[in-house]
Amino acid sequence: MNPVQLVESPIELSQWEKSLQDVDSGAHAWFAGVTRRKTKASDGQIRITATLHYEAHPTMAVKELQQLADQAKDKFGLLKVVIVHRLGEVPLGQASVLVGCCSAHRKDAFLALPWIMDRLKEDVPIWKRETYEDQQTEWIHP
Amino acid sequence: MSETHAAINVQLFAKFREVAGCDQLQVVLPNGLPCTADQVLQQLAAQLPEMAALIPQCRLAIDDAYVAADHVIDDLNAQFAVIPPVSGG
Repeated sequence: MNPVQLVESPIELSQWEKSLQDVDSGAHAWFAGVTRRKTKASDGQIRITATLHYEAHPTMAVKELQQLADQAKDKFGLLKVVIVHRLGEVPLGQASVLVGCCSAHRKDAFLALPWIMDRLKEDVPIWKRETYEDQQTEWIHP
Repeated sequence: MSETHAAINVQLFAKFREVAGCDQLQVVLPNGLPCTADQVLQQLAAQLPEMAALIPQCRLAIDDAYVAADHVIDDLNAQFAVIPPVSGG
């Protein structure tokens, strides 16, 4: 299974766990980003999301994710990295992204997850569109 | 020697695609080639004024890689895309 993928179906952690197997690893760390119902707008108002939709520049997104995985391996001495991002409609409470990594010791795997997510949110050409409970829609370009 | 009346096809995503109503736009380069990535973005803003306010936060990608604002474009047949601020995750 390619460790960097864009998918259009639900992301199940159980399908990906084995991809980190490595007898030299003493730590597996996972992060799942999950679609959330409440968003605080810039005016302080709470907006209620009905559903989310994700779109990508697919070839570039895969390339950027692969580069990110490779950089994380080098920076933190990781043995393996998995990054899976879902596209299309992602109902509330489901994973839109799953990041996993393994390292010899826990510290590196713990440190790598936020580093990977921060860069994913800066550089990987994927966008989400909120559909609010009043059916208004909004592309998020922060 | 510069090519005049050149144009490139720029892929659009997210709000750009929605506002333009299509997934790519032909961007005319009034001064032909060579031109910079920033000049392409400025021309895109002129052609799609509803998106002009977001252009300063956008980047141009060529053949699946970001380029700097001062990158000089010399190939009309490359694959261009405007990348607005991303929101994956």
